[in-house]
Amino acid sequence: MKKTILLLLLVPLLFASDIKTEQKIYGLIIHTLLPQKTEIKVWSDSKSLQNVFRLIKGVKCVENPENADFLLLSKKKNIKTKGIKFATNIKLLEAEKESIIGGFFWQKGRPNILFLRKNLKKHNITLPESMQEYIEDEL
Amino acid sequence: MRFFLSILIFLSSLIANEELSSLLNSYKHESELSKITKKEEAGIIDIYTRHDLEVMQAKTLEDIFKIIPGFHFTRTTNNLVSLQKPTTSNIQLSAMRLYINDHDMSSSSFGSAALIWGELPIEYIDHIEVYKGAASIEFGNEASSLIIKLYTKTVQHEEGGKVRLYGDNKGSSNLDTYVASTLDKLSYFVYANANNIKREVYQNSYLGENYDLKSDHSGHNIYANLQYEKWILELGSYYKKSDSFLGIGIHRTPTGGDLDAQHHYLHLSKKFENDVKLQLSYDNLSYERSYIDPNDIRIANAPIINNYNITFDDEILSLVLEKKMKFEKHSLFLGSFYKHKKFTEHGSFNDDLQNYSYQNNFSNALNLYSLYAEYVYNYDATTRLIASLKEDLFYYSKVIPSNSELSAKLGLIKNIDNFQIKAFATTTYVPTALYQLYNPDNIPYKTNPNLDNIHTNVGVLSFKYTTNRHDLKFIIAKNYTKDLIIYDRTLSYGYTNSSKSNTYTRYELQYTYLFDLDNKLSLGLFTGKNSNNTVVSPKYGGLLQLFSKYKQFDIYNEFTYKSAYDYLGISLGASFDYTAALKYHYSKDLSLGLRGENIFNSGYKQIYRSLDFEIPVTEQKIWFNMEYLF
Repeated sequence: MKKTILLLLLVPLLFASDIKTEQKIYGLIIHTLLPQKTEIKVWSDSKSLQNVFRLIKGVKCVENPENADFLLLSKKKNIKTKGIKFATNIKLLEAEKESIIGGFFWQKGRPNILFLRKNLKKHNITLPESMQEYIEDEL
Repeated sequence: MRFFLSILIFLSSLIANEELSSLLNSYKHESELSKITKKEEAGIIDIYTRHDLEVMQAKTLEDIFKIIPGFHFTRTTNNLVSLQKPTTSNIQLSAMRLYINDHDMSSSSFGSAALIWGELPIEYIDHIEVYKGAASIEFGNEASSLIIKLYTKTVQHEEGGKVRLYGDNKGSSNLDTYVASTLDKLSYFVYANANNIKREVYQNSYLGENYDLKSDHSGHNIYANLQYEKWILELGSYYKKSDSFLGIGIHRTPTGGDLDAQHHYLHLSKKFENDVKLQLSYDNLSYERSYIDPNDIRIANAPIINNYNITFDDEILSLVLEKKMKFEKHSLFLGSFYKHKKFTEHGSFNDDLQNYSYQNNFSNALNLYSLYAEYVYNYDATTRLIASLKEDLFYYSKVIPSNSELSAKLGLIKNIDNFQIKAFATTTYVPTALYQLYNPDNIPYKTNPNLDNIHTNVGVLSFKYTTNRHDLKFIIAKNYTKDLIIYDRTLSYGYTNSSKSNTYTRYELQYTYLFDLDNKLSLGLFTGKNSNNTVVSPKYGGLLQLFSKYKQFDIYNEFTYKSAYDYLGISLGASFDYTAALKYHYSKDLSLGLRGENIFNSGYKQIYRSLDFEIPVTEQKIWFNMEYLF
């Protein structure tokens, strides 16, 4: 109950008031994966996806993928980075399952969120209990 | 400050995740494709979202026809599904147009899709929009006052596949399956269906003999959507075989007969970068109808017969070019199309004693050219003005005189806080079907090449009040119709335009209360009045729908009401149809469901000429449903 009250109080503070649900979801994913960072540098290979980052607080878009803490990818493969790579479609996630940490994508007529356990380990990320259901061992 | 923000973000990231499942649900609702495709400028819209269709466990278009506010869903004597406006009989076939995405499913011969597609299984359809009081200009196609747009599921949302199986307590069965995938630049969505639907067999007695009135149907459907960069190629192939129900015999005593119909089409479209859209399509239809009645079938210009066989083969070639222009306050939509519509008829008619036997074979074609434009002016943030114009030019290959028709529409959409007012004034026409215009032998029915189109002026006014939870809409629509087409077999040319005009006024009240994203209640009441003061169908109709979700269960309740009516000496009391559906989501990918239709067997019944009992339009049935995603 306390968590719920805190949630209600705090979550809105992370976002601007006219934020869309898609941005809220990305905001939660980014801040959950990189909780220690106060300013998270983000990059995407798609201009339309770069708009997603607008209005998410604590996030800054960068020009160079090498400088990004979080990379949102729709098609680009083999990007060398120390940042966390996240996919927007299942095909890319399948193709890059050795390095991409997870994805938020449409499949089977519904939006899905998925994190790959082995790649979470590589980045030493432990997801909270409530997000364990989104972790998969294999695709 | 940085420290505080850091703590805030950290705490939020820990606990906000609890919201993720509900955010995903919100996102799913927010991403409903109907929010992108609906055209407010086109008229009064009823939308059946994907979520609605899934909770309803909707199977075929019939399940939607049954609940379109302002209409009664019915079945004709020869087993076609149709609609009636309150107090009137079945609407003119060509007054309703059906589209699958941008493709017009109408045939050349009948100017309607209802003959083949009326019972279409809709598992491959994402959502449905019903436009009332429209002029078709916005959709760049032939004129129609009732437009039903079906939008197929998209590869972008489907990636994967589905199998759906359902059957009923009368032995019906249906299988749907589809797969969707993206391969680099090419993506595809491929769907297949097979169905075998059984209905109650009724019996009619005549001279001590009993005759079965059957209305089963079966068929299969294939649809494919291939996308390569900005090119989209759609392929459709639907085959349907259905019983002839009461047939067309004088005493409704069929001993056979059926409809064997198929429609294959290709539709290619490309959107260019400068907002130009090009569409090319080809349709091939075949409609083979037979009636057998030992107690006589009456046709024109011939003695009484017992066997009636007629085939219409249609070919349609279509080219559409459209451009959209957007400015700061204005937008302009310009379009043109060319259609070549050919129809060929083969007929054979005889009596059982072979005293009379006749065969005929004829064809004709229509070249249809159309130019259209829609102008939208956003006067300010709350006021939108709409003006549309469309000119159609008809050139026939034989006998039928060339003609042209102008359609025009003016509209206003005004938002004042939570209120929205929509007003449309339209002058348009209902295209006359080729089968009514051309038959050189005038057998089995008489035709009139000089027949004028039905002309109609429509005024629609709608008031809407919307808050986060409430949505209240009141609609008044008035149609003035002239040149109505009637069939008078005493005239040498059969079909004729009535000298009497008709005014029809429709009132509709709709209310929706949204408890939350998954739980809502909808209420609809409607009535209509025609200037002839005749009543041949219920004057009042009502609909109550309750969409609910409880844990792993989707629950749907639907009540439809039709008032009492008298027709052909038969009095029918008010009807109440209670339909309910329950779906259990065993997992994210597997669900099992039950749908009960007309559960108390007290739903709407249709009275038919020369039949001394009435027949339920929707039968009492229980459906079992299984859906699996892979």
